[in-house]
Amino acid sequence: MKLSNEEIERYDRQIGVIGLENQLKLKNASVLVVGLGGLGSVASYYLVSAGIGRLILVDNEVVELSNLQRQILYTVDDLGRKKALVAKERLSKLNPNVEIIVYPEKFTLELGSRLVDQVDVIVDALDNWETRFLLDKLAFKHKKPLVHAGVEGFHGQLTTIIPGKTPCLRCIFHVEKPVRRKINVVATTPGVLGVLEVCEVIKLITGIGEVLANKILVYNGLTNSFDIVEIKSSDCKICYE
Amino acid sequence: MVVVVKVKIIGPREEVKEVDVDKVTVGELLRKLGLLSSEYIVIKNNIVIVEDELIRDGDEIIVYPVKSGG
Repeated sequence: MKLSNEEIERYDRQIGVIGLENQLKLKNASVLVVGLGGLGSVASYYLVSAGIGRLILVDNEVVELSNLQRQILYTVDDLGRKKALVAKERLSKLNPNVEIIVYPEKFTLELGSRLVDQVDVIVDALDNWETRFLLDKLAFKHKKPLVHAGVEGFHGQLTTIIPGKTPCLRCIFHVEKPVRRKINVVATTPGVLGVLEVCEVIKLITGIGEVLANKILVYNGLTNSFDIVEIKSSDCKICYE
Repeated sequence: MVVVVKVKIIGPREEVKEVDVDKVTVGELLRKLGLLSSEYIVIKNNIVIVEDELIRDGDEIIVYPVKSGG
């Protein structure tokens, strides 16, 4: 597939950095984003603006007033509507070149098994470990890279899981009994981490730069610090084989 | 043996504690601090260390709570 004249003009400033060939790689890539909250709003927005060719979005929730403080895809007009449907409308207007497929339903093993195999990269924009570990399991089974982020308050973490090269998410974070609770977060934190997730996706698809494989980026908005810590690759028990 | 380690706990009220531990694994240290090992990653010399790893006298440890929100 080639880039049209409109696309070459649209991505002009980015092509100046990554080149035409890499822009074409983005166009020919498919990305799955699971979760359309704070992280997912930002991640899907930048994936579409950057020119990913095909985006699959999954979220079963509706827009609530308390979402608008950080979930930048939605407005007061969208209250009560399914996030996935609103996302498709908004993102299609931003960049009609991107094929956007939405599933306004819960992410399950059955749905995930059908979707994961169709994409090149998976973005974890979830708000709970139970579903994260399901996604992690599917990423390992289908050997797809998974970009993880988690946020709370002024803090967040980011890492890229590459089956065969890095430990799985469960082995890194040891969250044994995931508990769902209300998580408070400052507006900007999912913005910062969501953008960084997309930067990882761009690097994974184009091969430019270094991804956070076997590394965790730890963000602290209170002290403006981004620390990168290493993970020993031997830590994984290869749970999912 | 008593081992003194400097522990920096990252969070809304960031704090540095000096802890005397008589058992020197990561797991024991977390238990001494009253923290659940399933909710934190422990970092020594910029590397994530696991629960049964040894901590030595003078080590500087960073304890980071794993964030789960999206």
